[in-house]
Amino acid sequence: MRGTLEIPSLPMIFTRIDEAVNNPRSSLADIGRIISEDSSLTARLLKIVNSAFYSFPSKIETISRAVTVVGTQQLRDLALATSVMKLFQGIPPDLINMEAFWKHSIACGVAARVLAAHKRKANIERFFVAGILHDIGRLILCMKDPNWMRSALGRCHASGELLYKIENEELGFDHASLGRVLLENWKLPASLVETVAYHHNPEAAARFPVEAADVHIADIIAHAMQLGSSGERFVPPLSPLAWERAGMSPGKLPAAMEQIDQQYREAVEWMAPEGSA
Amino acid sequence: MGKVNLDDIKPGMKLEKDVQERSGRVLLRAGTEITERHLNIFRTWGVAEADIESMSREEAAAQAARDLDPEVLKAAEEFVSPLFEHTDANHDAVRELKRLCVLRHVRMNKRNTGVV
Repeated sequence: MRGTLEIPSLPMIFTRIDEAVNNPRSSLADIGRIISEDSSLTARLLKIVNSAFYSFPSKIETISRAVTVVGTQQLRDLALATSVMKLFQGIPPDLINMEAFWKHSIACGVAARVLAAHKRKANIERFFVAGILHDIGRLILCMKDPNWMRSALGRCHASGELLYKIENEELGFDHASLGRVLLENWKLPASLVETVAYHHNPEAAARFPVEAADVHIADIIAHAMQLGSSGERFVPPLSPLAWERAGMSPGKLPAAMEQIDQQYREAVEWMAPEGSA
Repeated sequence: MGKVNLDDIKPGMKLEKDVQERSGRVLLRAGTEITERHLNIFRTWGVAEADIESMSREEAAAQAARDLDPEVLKAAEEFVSPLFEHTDANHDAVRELKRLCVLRHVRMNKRNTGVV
């Protein structure tokens, strides 16, 4: 690829929240105060915790309350999910429609979260954020080499091949491995890095095979339900091993899809950037 | 005969095994004849499937699909099928996902055109 990779930085607010969450000397109140300094993030997080994502019996009015009932790690993950969408601007709209791209990402995040919730996993928002980030490498491809991407999309359209296979064939790597580079640069946790890196070949995930399997399946469900678009036209092939590792059965799909539809509808509303929608 | 999807279970069918909610509590005993009220209880408790006497998942699904207009079903299948071109139709999960997407497409079309 031409040029050097100018990697967008993570928003300062996320870095500060993350530091506070990881610092044993920070109190819940400290973390609440940092979040409250950013009024748009505060508004968005309150919308999320009052949505079908949580279905709490009573309304959560303040961030300090949200910190207590949702937990600091989960709020941190939600903050990452909502702030990362602002980072990629200026991608030619004929390559990727950004709204459709983030809708697909949200759908994958919601699906991963629903699958994790069915298994009663702790901290399910890390699955949500993994889904939000899974295709982020494709945005880098669009930014760094729009002409190559245009020709790849053209080839994909003409031949009916899978886009990520064309990436691998022509470039020697795909958007998933590019996503890994970005997430490593951002110093995000290894589970997130591995999940994104292996969402098309989850068998290769050595340390976090179940997480990778979940996001792999979530991506497939998001494609099948045609929620948003990542540039890929087809449902990616399913890894039978990942299906097993995720502890899935076909009978779990109807209820899961019902919940995905419901949470997706709300999520696209509160994830929309200010001024749109 | 195996598990049947909640959406495909109809009143009058008979339970082959106990239905439990996630924590293991029994909601309904084997042998019970299902009523509409039972189905609501399953939904409330997040029960997604149950064992039905002399009925497989495929049979129940086919029975539910027979209630649909074949023309509408065919159009939805033609719309959804190309998406699955790169998937393995022999895998249970893929088949079920595709079937559910076809039915979802039918429902969404009905909603969009206002015909319920």
